[in-house]
Amino acid sequence: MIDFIDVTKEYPNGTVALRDVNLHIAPREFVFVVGASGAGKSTFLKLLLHEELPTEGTVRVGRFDLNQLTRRQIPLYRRQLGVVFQDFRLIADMDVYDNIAFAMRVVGAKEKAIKERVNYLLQLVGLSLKIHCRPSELSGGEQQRVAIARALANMPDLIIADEPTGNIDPRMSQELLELFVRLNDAGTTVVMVTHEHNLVRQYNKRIIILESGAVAADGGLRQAPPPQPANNAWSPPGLPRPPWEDEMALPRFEAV
Amino acid sequence: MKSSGRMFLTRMGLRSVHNNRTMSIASVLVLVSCLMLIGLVTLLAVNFDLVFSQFSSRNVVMAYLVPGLEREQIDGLQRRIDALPTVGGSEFVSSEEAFRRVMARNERDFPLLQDVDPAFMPDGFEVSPLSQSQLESTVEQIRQLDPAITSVRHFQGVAAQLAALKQAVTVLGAAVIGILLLVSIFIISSTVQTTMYSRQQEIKVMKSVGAAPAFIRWPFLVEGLVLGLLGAAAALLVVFLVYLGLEKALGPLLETLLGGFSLAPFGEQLHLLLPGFFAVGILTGGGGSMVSITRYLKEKVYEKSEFEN
Repeated sequence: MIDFIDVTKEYPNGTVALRDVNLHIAPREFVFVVGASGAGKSTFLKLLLHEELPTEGTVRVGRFDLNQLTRRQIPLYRRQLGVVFQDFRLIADMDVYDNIAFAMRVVGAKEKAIKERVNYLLQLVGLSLKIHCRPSELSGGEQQRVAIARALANMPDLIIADEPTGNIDPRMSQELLELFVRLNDAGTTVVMVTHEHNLVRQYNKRIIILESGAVAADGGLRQAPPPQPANNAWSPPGLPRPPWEDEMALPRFEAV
Repeated sequence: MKSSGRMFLTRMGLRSVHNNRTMSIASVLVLVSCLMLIGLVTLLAVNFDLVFSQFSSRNVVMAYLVPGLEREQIDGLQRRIDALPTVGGSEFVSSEEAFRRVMARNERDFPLLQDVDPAFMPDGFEVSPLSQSQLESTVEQIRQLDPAITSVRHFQGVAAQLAALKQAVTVLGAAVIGILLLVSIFIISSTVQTTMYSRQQEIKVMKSVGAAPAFIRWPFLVEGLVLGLLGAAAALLVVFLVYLGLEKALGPLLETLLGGFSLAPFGEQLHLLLPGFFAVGILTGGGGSMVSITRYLKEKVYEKSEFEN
């Protein structure tokens, strides 16, 4: 599904954001991408979204060689992706229905098909009753579910989620993760960039750790950990942080 | 782009005129101000041209006669004048006819003249030279034609001055209109850019879901065109009202000062103003939108800096 082959990205100011990255993400995989600030996660996403091109190496997503995309092909490529942003990116003056339908109208879908698909997606994300609400009338979690529904509108093979739980409460974060897992179980490849190690630890999925522009670790959990509180904020005040909330206590990964 | 998609985008553009109404009103007001100035300068030039034309057409040579000439003498004189090589034609104007013409122009201002004997005005000929450039020589020839011609009058000096003034007004008017057009395009483009800045999010969403550049441009083009056309229509109305006011306020004065001149009717200038205003509206609204959106199409979908996460 995704191939990074010897990918290096150096910005004009001399910053090397990614260095000799080699990755293969298979279809139907669920991958968490984690890393500290400046580790190269944003550049990784920019390359996937074709916002930037690698200085060296090749990026392939599905049948697209991103180095070779023409300007005309860029929108076509992006229609194969479902992108979920941390800040939801909903259009404020459109209601829930239109925000989701928008992604289908872009590709010239017929209104009948749009109606059927949007209603199905709203059921999937549990927002059928909010169909005519504006984004400002929804909670953060609900807005993110609308964004996920929009990302799914064109039945993408790949969902790229950038910190999708960054702006929502812990309980809702858990629910959203469950939603992504269900989508993955249904056959969609999911690449999720996140800071929330607590969430990552609860799922036995592949984790790619980026560090200073290189892949520091790439692997899966040896075994799923027991259920944990969803977020640090749920820890009782005054108690020491439990070991699973410490980044250093992450389970071992297979070194790359 | 499919027609259903185009309809949706057109509705989107129309809706955003309403949703961004503060900026929409600002854009329209800017356009109205610029077009109003352009319109008024155009109308000034048109009227000046009219004054010049009317004056030129009236710029005949008047040859006044001694009183008491017989009809045969008058006819003989007219034949001799008509025979002059630079003369295109002549018309005898009796003292009664001359008085009638003066009264027709000034009756309102000189009511006392109604009781005056028309005979105080001399008989004369209204001589039209073949061309305005031959005015001077025609005057000289008529002066030397016969002692019965007491005086010859014409407005050569004034005509030359008017011609120079007309040229100056034309050049100045064109320059002012050109500058105002540029200012309009600049201001409208800035206003549209401000609108777009507030809608970067929308553009980024469109790009991230795979909208083609033509798809992204369409609603902004519709919005720009609607604003341009609204501005043009509003400006036309404002110019009409201002012109109507000026006509009422200055009409009688101009009529007196310029000897029967009246401002060009607004309706007759519509063939110039209507297409002109709407062309400017389309150019500034649609063109301004396209220039601005092209800039914002280069915006990144994913704008976080490398060091944000």
